[in-house]
Amino acid sequence: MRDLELSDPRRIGGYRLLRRIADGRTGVVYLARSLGGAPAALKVIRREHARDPEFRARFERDVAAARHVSARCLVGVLAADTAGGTMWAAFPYVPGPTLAETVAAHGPLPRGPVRTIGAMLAEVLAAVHQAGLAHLDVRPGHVQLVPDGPRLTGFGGTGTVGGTPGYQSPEQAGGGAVPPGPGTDVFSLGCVLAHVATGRHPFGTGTGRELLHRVVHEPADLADVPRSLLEVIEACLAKDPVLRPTAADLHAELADAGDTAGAGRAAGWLPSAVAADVNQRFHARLPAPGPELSEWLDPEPPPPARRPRQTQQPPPEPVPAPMSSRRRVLTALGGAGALLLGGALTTRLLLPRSGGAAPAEGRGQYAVGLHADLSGPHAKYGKGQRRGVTMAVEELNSLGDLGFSLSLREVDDGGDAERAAEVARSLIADPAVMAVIGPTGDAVARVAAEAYGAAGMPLFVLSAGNFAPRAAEDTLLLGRPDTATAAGAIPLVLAQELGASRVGLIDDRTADEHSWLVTRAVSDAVDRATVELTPRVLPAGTRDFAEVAEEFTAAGVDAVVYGGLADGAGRLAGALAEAGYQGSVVATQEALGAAFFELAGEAAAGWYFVTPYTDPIGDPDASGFATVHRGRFGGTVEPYAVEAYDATRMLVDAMRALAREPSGVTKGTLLTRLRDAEYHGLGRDLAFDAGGGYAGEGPLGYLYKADANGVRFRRALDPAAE
Amino acid sequence: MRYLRQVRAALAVSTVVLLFGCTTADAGDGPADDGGGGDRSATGGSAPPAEASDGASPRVVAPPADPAAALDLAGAVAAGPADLGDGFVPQDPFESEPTTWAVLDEGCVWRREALPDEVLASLSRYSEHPAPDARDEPLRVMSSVTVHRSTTVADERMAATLEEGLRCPEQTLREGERITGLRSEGAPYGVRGQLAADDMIHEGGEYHGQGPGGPHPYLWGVARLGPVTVALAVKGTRGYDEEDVGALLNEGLELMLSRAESELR
Repeated sequence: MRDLELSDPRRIGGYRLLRRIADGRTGVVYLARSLGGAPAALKVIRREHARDPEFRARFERDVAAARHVSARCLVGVLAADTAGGTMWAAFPYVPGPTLAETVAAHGPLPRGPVRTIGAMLAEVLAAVHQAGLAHLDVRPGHVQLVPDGPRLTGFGGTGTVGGTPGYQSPEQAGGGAVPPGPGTDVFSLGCVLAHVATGRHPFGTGTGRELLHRVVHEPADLADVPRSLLEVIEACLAKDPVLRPTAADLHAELADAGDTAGAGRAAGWLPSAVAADVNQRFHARLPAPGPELSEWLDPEPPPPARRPRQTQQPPPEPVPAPMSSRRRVLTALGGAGALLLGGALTTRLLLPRSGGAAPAEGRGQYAVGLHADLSGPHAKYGKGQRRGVTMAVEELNSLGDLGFSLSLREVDDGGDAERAAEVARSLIADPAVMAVIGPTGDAVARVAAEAYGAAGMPLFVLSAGNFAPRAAEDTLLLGRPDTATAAGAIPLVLAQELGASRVGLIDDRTADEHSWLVTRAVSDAVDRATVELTPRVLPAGTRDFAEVAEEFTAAGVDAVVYGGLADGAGRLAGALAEAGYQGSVVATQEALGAAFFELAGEAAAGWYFVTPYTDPIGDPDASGFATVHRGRFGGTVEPYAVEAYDATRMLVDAMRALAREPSGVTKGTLLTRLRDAEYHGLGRDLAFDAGGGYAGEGPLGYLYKADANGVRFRRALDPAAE
Repeated sequence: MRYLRQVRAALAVSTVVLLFGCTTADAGDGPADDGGGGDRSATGGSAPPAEASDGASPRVVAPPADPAAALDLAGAVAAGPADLGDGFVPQDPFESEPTTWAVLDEGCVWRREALPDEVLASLSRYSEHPAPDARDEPLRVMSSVTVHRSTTVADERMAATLEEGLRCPEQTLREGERITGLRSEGAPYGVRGQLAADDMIHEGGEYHGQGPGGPHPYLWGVARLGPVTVALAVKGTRGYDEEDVGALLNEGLELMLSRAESELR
């Protein structure tokens, strides 16, 4: 959940809006409270849809229909306005994670819970169908888990007919003669159950169009669906709606062999880790209307470093203890809901300004710092990391069981070393910041490592790969193998992917240290008994690659390894094409930039890139993240988003554990704990050696293949798996 | 890798830089800063980086214009026994034939060839510190100065030098003298604390000579100022560890750089 934005309404109907829950395609969903104080999820339709007469009609019909159905486990409409200028609908607030979040966080569920969820959802759908209606958008994001079972949401008030790619039926995809109806819900439910049972999407991932095509023409991927579920899920996924079971059949089938209809209520129907999340979320305190007023007035406090008084007496660490008595009084006033605007202003001025926004409750507040390049040469990576951290922070806060409030403080170094030192100081000066994720680029790596090291601030690094030489006071936690180690993936590509026997190796001094590290690692790893290696070192500033291209082509080289940057890579690609080179080229993420595609054009084909970041869309191991990401930011996942999400989860897990211990959360205890911690990420598994180097069992890197338009994920490069 | 870490640590902290480097070079005499023959020179053929544009180095005001002036400069810069410390004496021969320089051939063996057109002059000097025990080899130091026709040529030569390390991690200096495990790293001006020259390369490996107790450290460094490269190579022997050899290299290289800088003004 995020704070309201300045432009957000504060009241709608009889509801007071408190937080943003989600930005959907058709509207924004808010956490709201009714006049009586009951929590609700209130969806406000986006203006462009509200102006669309067709959409309005569908929305109105949806809401009206939904009001006619009530079923156990169905989240219906509480109130709505389908006629006014602002179209909205309020639903009971369900305090529980969605199935999408649950699978993303915990992986697939065992078959028992899958059956239970299936049985209960089938029962709901049977009731809906009984009323002559259909849901038409059943998907993991529309199922939430509470302690006694699943809740189906999204019924009434979506205004959509198309469903969601990956969970659409063939008839929704336009591939059948029958219009979408109850059978569509059964098909979608089959997809949901397959996803929950395997952690994968039954029709894979990809663009909406690719998914549509597969839904219509290809069988679902049910490879590791437990056998006892396989038959029933297969039946749901019949291309022809007539061949699918009805929801009532399905309910009978699943409830029969599995837990009975009341099953959900019995304790222990979910795996314990999932149950813990569900319970915590269910019992979490929701924001009350009062205290948020002050935040509304000051939604984006200036960076702490600019507050002159703060640096003079920074509290050594934030105190996760109960708040001061004065603050308690003020919060109590706020909680009474009696504060008017003037009162809120007073509150804001009286509260100590340190550490950003006022704490919502009597809890400690900690922040994760993000030290990123958001405007320089690696801004794409920096922004990806920002998304991942943002997603994790929002998700962790919404779980509500942290024991502290968590926020994100971001700084932008623009890839510049001097600025990096400056912005590092501002994060270090912020007493709420317990750890920093970053920096983004290698150009600032050493500067950042020294600054944070001297301050004892844990520095969780995702993209920068070269911190040598390391110092004793370093506080690094490398979330990826360092550049030289990662370059060890290139010989794997040469041997396994390309079967290269004549390799041309180009160290381009324009890329100085990066190129040096990569080419030396390759030179060391290549077996010269079987591979003929021809190295070339190019002076810094080389722009004409014709000579080396002609030389390699004439020598019959079948693979070129390039250690340089995107600009050189693009020029090299052109020169190789000009020379008639027929082989492949392998380069690193530093060469994978817009300049490469601009300069290379068609010559980009045949290039491979080895990167430290995965692609959750293409990488089946990380696909859970893509689902969550799509819900929050859309379908395009930026590099390092999943890695930043994992890093934040790992950091906060450690903070949460420390918060329960007498030593508490300090930078020192956090660093010590993290160095010993392991985290099974959605991307890479994370663990560190004594010096904070990457020691997880994740892959050395990830392989992408280019064509003129971009790159496609191929696979993780894992020597152990070869 | 341990050696390189030390090199990098040194490069990072010291402003005068040059710690040790190392390497190769001495092939019957040896230039270290050379590189293969002219045929391989302009590997990438291309514009040099800004700081390498001809004569543009802030410290280089007056590059030598002809072979005679270039050889005078080389003679004034190259380090000899007196520059290296007490007890150093000239080897025999003491200087290389000035119309030749050392080239690493296809088989990774150093040999001397005639100077290519783009090199105005190249001079190497050989010094040694006799060992107290007659069974040991003396501590041998080779210094070398090469004057190129342009900064671009010298810059390409630096790249070619790095390329040799990649091409030949094992090299034969002369019969019975080998280097193995060669590693090299370059540091352009302003990068990793390197402020002593326009560009600098350090190499290190293990020297397998004829004396007992080997292999010993073998370090080499080459630095470029405008069109001029200065190099120093030290072959270790019993009684000298990597640090001793590195200190000798550093001091010698530093001395030659400061001489070159004043010659070029």
